[in-house]
Amino acid sequence: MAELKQETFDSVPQMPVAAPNEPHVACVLLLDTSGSMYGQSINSLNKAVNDFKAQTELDELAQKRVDISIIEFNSKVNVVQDFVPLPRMEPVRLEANGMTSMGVAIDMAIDKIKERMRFYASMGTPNFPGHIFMITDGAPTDDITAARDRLRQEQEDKKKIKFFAIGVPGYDKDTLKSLTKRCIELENSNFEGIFNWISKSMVQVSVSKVGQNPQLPDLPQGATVIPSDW
Amino acid sequence: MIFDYNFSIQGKSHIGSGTPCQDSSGVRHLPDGWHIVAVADGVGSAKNSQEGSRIALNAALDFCEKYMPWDKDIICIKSMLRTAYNHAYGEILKEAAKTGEPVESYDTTLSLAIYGGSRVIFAHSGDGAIIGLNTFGDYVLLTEPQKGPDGVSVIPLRFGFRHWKIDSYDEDLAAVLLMTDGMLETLCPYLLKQRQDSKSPVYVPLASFFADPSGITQENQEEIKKDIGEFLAVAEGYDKEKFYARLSQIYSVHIPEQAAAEIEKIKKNDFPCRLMYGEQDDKSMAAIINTDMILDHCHAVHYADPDWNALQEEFNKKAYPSLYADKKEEKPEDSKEDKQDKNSKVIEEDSSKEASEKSGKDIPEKQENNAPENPASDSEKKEDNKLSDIQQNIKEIKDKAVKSVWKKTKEAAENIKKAAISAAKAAGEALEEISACEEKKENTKDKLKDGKEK
Repeated sequence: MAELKQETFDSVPQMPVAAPNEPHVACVLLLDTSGSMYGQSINSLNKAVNDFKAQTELDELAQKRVDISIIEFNSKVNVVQDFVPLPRMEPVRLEANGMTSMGVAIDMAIDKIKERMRFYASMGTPNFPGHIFMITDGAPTDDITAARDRLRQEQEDKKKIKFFAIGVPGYDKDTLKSLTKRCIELENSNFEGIFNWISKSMVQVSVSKVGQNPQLPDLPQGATVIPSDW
Repeated sequence: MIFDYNFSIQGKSHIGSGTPCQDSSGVRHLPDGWHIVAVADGVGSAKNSQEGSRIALNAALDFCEKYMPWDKDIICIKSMLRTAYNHAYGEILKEAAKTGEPVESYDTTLSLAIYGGSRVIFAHSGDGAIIGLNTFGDYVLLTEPQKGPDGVSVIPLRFGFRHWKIDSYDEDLAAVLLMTDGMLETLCPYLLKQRQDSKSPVYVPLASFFADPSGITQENQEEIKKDIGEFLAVAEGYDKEKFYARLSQIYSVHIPEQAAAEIEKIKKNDFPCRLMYGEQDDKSMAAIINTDMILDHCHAVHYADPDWNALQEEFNKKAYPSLYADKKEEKPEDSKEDKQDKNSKVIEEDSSKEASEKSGKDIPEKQENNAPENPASDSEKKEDNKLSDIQQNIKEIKDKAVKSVWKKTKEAAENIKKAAISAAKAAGEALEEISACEEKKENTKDKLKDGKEK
């Protein structure tokens, strides 16, 4: 389980108001921390997640616009970090154990994104579609049928969510392809490159105009798109 | 006198992508002292929306100009407006039939106002806006943006009369402002929409520049018009002092003693200019202003820059509740089960409640702001803390146990693997030995046979 000690707005200087009309984008990192990630994989994942903040922080707009949440899944699904702005991301220390409850995890990630977008709508905050980046090295050990159907509806019909499935060696290709057209395969469990790409993608989204479909950067070396029609 | 302007400026995002300006705007003056103003915004994703906005705007303006009821009865004008909108859409249908393009490719919004010097009758379709400045000095939103259920897509003119809003405003207005959605978001930033004091969400310093009649004369009206156009464009090298000079002129009329100080405060954050710089979309602004209307002078706070930090803080509290230490704002009726379900779903039957309660949230040691709704006694607090500590300990022990089991399982698996490899190797060696013995046996047999024969 990750241990976190959140800095609160009371204990740190307030974020300055840069402009009163920033659009926001909700981004969920959905991370497989099942037993098979034990060892090198989980260490690399922890490092990559913690470096992610530093990379994205370099962009001023991303700092103001990207709201990030981290959810891990193994035998349980846990919100490691609820939505916070990028500069307020806390370091994580994920640990690997248990099974792979992917269906429940996807369901929760969708719930989180939708709750977030409902909040944006209630506040009149302009926003981009929610982004979910799922990283997994295995096949689900629970039933993902309902989650798959829900994801299809949100992605294809309502176009409110963009779901990226990233598989590391050991993952089940058919499962990922059934979830989304946005499937990426990593050749090893070195996550630095892909998190760099996620960070650049979020920067690209945050500098675009609401309603546009921005071009994402090229994938890093060692990552390939699993062929589909996207 | 009546001061009017209309501008449609290509957005920076469109300049970058080579997309033409999809907005249109126009003003018509009738001989009897009535005025018609309109803006239209072609839907971004529609291929011919630039044409659509131009056709709809001109068709509606032409129709109103030609068929304005002579008696200026409000009911008659509203009826005429509905027909004008039908006519505007009819012209789009004709164009689509002529070109063979789908009618959706011409999708556009359309906002139109008829102003008689004090009263306004208006029609509205889409996500633009019509804002009035009344004689009390308040900015009032006469329309709401019309968006689809997804909150992003626009409801265009094509969707028909059931969506068109045709209405009038009962109070005297000194100015009527029409704008497309890019300018609406700039003039009404969302941080202002959440204000508890039911103030208008319009950003007064910015709106004043566009709508306040103070200081506009016959002699300077062309210069002011030019300044407004330049400010809308905020081209590279735009001189911000022009904006603040005009604002200073307006504020000197309303709050002569505090004008300089308030302008300095606004200049410090420079939000009016930064909001304009930040808007990437096409911008259309059209206005009819009656400079003869006398506005009330409001209190200085009305013209002041809002407390953006406080507004941002309000927003942050709602947006990022996990970052605020005040756990006492949690509703007392939230059961433990509700909290669990919110942040954690469990597959295993023996999953612990402690894991879900943790959910990345540390229970704060001290509350700075004690909410009055949870007046737990000290002893109860101590019991709660004790229970939390025990639960935390159980969780840590369980985590260690699980980790230890996984580690041992992995080690055992490695050992089994090694043993299997050794066994296989030994078996292989044994087989080789057996083969060697068999071969030796055969050789010995052959030798014995040879010996016998000799």
